[in-house]
Amino acid sequence: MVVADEYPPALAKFLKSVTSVKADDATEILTGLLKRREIKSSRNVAKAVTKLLLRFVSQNRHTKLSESQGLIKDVKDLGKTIIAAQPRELVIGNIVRRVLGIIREECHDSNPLLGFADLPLGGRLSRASSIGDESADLGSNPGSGTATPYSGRPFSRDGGEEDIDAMSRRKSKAYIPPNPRDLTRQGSIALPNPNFGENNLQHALFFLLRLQPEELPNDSPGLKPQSKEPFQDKDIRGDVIEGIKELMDELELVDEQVAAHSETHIHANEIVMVLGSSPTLQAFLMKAAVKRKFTVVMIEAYPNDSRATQDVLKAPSKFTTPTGLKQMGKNAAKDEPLTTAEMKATLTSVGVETILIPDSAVPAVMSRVNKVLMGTHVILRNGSMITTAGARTVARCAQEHSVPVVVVSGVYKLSPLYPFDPDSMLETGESSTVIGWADSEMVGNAEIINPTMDFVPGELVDHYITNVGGYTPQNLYKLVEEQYGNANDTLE
Amino acid sequence: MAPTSKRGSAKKTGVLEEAPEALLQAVIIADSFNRRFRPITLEKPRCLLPLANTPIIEYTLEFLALGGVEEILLYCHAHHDQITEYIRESKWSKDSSPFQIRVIYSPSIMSVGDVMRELDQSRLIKEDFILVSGDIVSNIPLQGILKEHKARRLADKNCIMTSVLREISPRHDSRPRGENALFILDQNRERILHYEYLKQSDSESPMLLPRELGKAFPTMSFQENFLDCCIDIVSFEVPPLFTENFDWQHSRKDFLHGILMDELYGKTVYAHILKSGYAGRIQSLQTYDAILHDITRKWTHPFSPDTNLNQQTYKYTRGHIYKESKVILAQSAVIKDNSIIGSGTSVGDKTIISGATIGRNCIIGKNVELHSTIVWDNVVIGDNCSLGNCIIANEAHIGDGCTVESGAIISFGVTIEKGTDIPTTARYTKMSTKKEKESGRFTQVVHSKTKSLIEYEDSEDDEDEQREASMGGLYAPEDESDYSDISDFEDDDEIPGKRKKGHARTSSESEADSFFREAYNSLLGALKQSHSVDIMILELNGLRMSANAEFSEVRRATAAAVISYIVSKITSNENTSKVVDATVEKLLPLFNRMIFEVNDQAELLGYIQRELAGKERGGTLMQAIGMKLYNEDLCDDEGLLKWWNEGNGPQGETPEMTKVRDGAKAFVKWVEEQDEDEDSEEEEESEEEEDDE
Repeated sequence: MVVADEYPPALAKFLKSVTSVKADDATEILTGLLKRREIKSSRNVAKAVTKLLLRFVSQNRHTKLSESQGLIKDVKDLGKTIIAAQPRELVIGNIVRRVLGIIREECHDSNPLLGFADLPLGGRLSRASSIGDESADLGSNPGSGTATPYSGRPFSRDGGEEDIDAMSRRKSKAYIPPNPRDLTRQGSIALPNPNFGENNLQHALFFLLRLQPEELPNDSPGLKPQSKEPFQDKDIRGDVIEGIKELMDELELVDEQVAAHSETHIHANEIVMVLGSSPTLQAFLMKAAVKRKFTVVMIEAYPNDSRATQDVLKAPSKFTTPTGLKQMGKNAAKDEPLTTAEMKATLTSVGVETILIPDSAVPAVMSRVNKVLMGTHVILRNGSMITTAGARTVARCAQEHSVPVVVVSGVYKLSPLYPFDPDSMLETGESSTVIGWADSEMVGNAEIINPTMDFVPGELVDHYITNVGGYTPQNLYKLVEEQYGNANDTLE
Repeated sequence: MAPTSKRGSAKKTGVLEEAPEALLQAVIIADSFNRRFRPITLEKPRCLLPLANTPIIEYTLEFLALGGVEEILLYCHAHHDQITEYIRESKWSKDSSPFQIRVIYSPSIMSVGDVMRELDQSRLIKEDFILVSGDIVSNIPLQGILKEHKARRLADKNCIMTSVLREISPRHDSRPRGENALFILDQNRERILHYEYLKQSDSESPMLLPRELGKAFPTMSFQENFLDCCIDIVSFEVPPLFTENFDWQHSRKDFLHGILMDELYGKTVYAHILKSGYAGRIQSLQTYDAILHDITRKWTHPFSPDTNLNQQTYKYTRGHIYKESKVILAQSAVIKDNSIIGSGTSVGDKTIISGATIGRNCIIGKNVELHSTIVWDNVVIGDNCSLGNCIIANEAHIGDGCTVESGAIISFGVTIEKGTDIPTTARYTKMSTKKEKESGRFTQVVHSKTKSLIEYEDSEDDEDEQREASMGGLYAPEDESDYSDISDFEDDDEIPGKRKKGHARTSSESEADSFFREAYNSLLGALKQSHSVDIMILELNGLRMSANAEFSEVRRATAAAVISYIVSKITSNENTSKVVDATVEKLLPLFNRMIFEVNDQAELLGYIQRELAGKERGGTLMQAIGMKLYNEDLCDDEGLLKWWNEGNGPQGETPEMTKVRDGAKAFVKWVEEQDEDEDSEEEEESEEEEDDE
């Protein structure tokens, strides 16, 4: 925390300035901030990128429905630029893909026939004639999406013979607007928690209703909409901006939504081992502490988190506050990620018994633990995740003791990427956190590597709790599809 | 992001009550004012040289951006056109840049002091600012330090500077060799009470401290183990101080030392001792190498190659290997840890790259070995070459089967013929003499196939630059015993020898004679006018370098001058020892710089003996001088006995000389006895001394 405090409140500054400069300049500013690692945690990066995209879309010359192709291309290019600045921050790609999804959805909503924004617009007329061919795809794709959710997957049905263009075209045809479906699905899938977001359920129903009239013409292939009303080149910008704003709200609310699940996962008198210091995790524990009495075993996470811990142990008064619950609200809104130590202090203040252990003690304590709880940096398509260094050891140890590993995370951290080369997704941090640089004996003679992240394969994780419900690693791909549809945007 | 709008408010704010929105300014001095990077810097300024394939200045600018700097004044002198052009084209000149950058060229700036005076005149500084040179690599957040500085300013109006220091162990690679300084701090290690630049040569000379210091601060911390990051938070009152003291050149040696020595100023300087983070300055080739080493090993994170500061495409793989896209590696090529390879580079079969940095579009042949080699862009290296820790600059071409030793420098566009072996000290450049009139000397080495290179030699004419020459090597010689005892002459000593071997340059008899005469005259003159010993050393060095004289010549001239001075001073038997003592004591540093081993001692004594021959009181003087030299440890018993036993050089002894020698008989006998008494101890000591040399 000491170090983090000394950095300029880069995010705040960026969020403030982004509205007053040109989008291109804002992009470069953000690129610089990301390269200098002035904005670090995935939440903050996500916020910054969303804000930038909002600015970008509102300034983009493509506003009309007919120009959506151009808008999508521009957003993709922007995404590529920002990702290049920090390729290991996969959240950037997630947010860009979400925004691409929003644009496509708006296109689809405005004109269901034109909705497949990936189609080259020149092909609009010819599309009308060829739509019969594709109707099979669309037809088999259920409007509500609940019954057979994966039938729309393109790879399973399209033959490998076709050239890539045709593939992608067809794929995009099969695209289903993400939000309505994923929310409907939530209604049906997020069963573990009966209390789960009334809000969301209402949303889901609302979308179901709203979708009904629009989905119908889709099912009966034909030119109905076109014949009913002449094609209107509607301005979609406003709607897209609205969608991005919703995404921003989601980022704000994510902790609360995740925390809503806490009571079903943390039971009375349980001993929970906790790794990581994300605000999501903190909110989760805090919420549970309101009703339950349990013990938290915190892992020190040496070396990248440990210094702050020790500082606090030396001067505990600095961090402890009497009203822990208020603290929770404050911390959740704070920009910087919480350190292990801070979390410990606030947890103690709400009456949770907290034990801080060094990383080496994890195997020894594991047998007495009921559950391992972790935050994460990013979740990947196949159910594996990238998180704080040391997590893999902890997860492996938990597996050995048959202790369930539960990961809490906002759904914005879910990436559609597959870890072909997990090593390349891991960030290597400053060597000086491991060994003091002044120690010439070590510096000269030892190779020091300080990975700040760990790759945890899906087999080691038992359950993911997101703001849209709980998932097992094996089922995550469904959520990926809901979030990003079938659009396969290569941004890296 | 709108610095222009902020400037208005900055003007309004008062001088000491700093409003938070005051524009944070930084001054970069993009010139080193030395020649440690010659001959590379003949063509390109140091701050634009690639460090891990990114220009050095980028690191400095990124560091300042990280520190939240909003306006930068970049002062440059050498190659100012290139720097201006670079900055104009860079991302820092765009609207999106986190700061406004202004490149200022002035032909008159020759030192840091000149920059500060220029700054004072320009009136561009309104607030306390950050002063760095254009070759800083650091990832420390400046905000905290700035906050500390401001708080201190409010409490102590006399505080004019906060310097960033890092503790470092004495034998650390990144510690700049030959740049040692002693900091005296207060009890809490916050305030700098005194600064003393430690010269390598006369480490025994006494240090003067202000009298009041001891009274005011009963507890002080004397520390020599600091790496001076040359990152200063400087008060706006400092530039006027430089104007006041027009002779201040160096920001440490002159300014810091001067301001703390002089009670009249009553100013205070504080230190910020870094506990975490990285900071280093590329002061010499040795530190260049060390910092490159640290960058590759992620000490400077986030400023490592895979951050792609300069629009590159580096990817990091385990073992600190960084590869850009479009690198072509032969299947049998081996890339070992800590290597950086730029895009468009191709590496041939069975080539081994370990710890090397390779720029873009290089062609590395087959079966090449690169160990810690620094290769810049567009270099071609032929087959079967073996390269050590050397620098190969852009567009250089190394033929097949060459061997380049560690420490060599191949500058821009040089072509090395097939099968050439390049020694450690070699520096090749294509730059011609015309451009470098003042002091660089070149020898044309013509190779078999009419391809010519120019070997760069820098003839140094002042003491500082000699030290720099000794720091020039990528591998500054590892001194074994005491760190602070690197002799300047250690390196210089090699150069004349090398010259003779390499280019068969004969120094004719007349040359040697003229050197003797000149050196003798200048020394005698200096002694009579009682100049300081530093000046004598300086003059003597200048003469020696220009005449390419051997050290034995120097000793001869010194002996002659000293003897005739002493003889002229002595009027009676009584004051003999007094005069001798005073003279020898004064000239200690001078003697120290010409005596390296036992033979030198004997030789010097021999010269003295010869000069004393036929003089009045020759014998007495010989004894007095011999004793004094012995007492001052300039001579040990071994040297003395060697002189005694082996007689005097090729010329033999004249009767007068024998007479002189007899004068010292009693003394030598005494030494002999001493020697026998403490035989074992003495031996150990003398061994140690030999090691020192």
